[in-house]
Amino acid sequence: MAIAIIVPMTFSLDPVVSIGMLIGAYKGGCFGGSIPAILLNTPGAPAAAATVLDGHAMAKNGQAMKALKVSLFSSVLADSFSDIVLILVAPPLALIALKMGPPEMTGLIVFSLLIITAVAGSSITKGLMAGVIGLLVGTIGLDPIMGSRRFGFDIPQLDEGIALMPMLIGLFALSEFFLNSEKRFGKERLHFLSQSGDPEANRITKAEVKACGKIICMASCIGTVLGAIPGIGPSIAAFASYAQAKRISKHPERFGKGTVEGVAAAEAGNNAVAGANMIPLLTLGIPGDVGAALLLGAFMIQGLHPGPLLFKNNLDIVYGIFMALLFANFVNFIAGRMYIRVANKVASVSPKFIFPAILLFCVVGAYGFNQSAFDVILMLVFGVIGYLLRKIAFLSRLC
Amino acid sequence: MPAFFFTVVSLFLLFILIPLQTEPSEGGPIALSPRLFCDISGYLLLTLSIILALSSVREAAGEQEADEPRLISTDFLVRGGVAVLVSFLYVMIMPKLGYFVSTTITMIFFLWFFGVREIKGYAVFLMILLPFVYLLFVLGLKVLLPSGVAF
Repeated sequence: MAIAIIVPMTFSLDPVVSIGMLIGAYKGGCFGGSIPAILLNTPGAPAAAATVLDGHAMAKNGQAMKALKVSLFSSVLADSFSDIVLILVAPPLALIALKMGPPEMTGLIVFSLLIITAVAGSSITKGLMAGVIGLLVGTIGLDPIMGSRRFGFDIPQLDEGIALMPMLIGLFALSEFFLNSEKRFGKERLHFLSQSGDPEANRITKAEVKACGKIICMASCIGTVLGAIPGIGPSIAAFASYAQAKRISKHPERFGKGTVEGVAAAEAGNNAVAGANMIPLLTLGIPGDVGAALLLGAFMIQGLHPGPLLFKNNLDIVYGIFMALLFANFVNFIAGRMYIRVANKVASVSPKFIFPAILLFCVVGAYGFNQSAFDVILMLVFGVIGYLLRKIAFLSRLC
Repeated sequence: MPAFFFTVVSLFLLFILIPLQTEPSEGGPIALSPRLFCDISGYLLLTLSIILALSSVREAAGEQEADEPRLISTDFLVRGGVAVLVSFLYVMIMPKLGYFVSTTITMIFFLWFFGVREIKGYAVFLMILLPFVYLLFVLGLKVLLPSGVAF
């Protein structure tokens, strides 16, 4: 959701700066999800669900700061590893993709549609239906061959089709606002865990560094391999890494009770997906997850089309983005190091204030993209569609 | 219920919306027809809706006595409906009242709606976010937000 809200702030920026800013938000969001997971037992992002298992148990033992530090180090190391893999793998892969002709491209499109089966969740039929609805939305506008209107409803703004960013902001950010509008937030205050007064409880020992090192390497490899496959999200990578870490650990009985190895495995696995996800996006133009889909939209706003031709026509921008990826890790580390000291206070901002602010940013973001009130209406319509689709999926057992 | 809903939607698409809103093929090859992909998508949606309905019937037969949640809750109808309605009103009044006035009114409503009761909460929220939007979007990014009759 952070990327959807930030995208409108980037449209007047240079492509490398703009994409770099969004990549920073993407990486920051991957690590940031672990903070409420550790402190509040509530993952800030679905990918941080595996971090809850040991992270919150550590926090309950008075080791919240240590858990946050392990989470930060593992995130940044795994993220850097996957970025280096991206930099090494993407150019040769793009060279191969450049040699693809129409049959291969058709195969690629069919493959990208088949990814739906991987991201469909519990019901493949529903996933396929969502894909078909997406195809139908794609037919809105002027027919590219005959130039005749399809689903125009005499609205000239629809001739160019549905604008991508208002649709994405509506589907991903505004629908979240509508979903949460059903909840009643009471006067109860969030319960925070006190830190232990023992300095050892907040410091990572040499033995822990040694134990985590092996696990971070293993989880980075798992996250990178899984992240490069479109449709396999960070949640799967986090749980796969966690399960593997438990298997190779000398103390598997400590997993789930608050061990640094559990936090390191979950966070390294989850964050390694961030860089690897960019491999299919940059080389083939296939977004691996929602975050990558939003980045695809941001590329298109800048007039760039991810895929093999990006490496042929905009190589300078591609290498600029590579540098931005590495620099984002450095900034993520510095910002994260400072942020974890005040995380307790920031995480305590009530949802009563957060959700109205989301609506405010959704509206100004959708408007700012083209300075068009129609885009805001479009965002609202897709917000309602996203809200209803989420409701139906949540209550699918009743259908 | 979703299966029924999507079956109705796909039938509406195939027999009303697509014929009304797209041009048919005029004697040329069918591959060039502007209606082709709309028809394919419509029939796909109908087929998948029927498959979903059949699988739902099979599932329902297997778990008759399950303790199922209610599909349409009061919160969904009342709170969700109010949020959607007020959001649409917000967008409708924005060109008339201007972005900042309409946003102030809507944010006050939603802060109350989500449970903020202290005046300080409203004041801090508006004093932080509205200047932030003004500085970033109006001054920084040169976005001309709707001015309306007021600021």
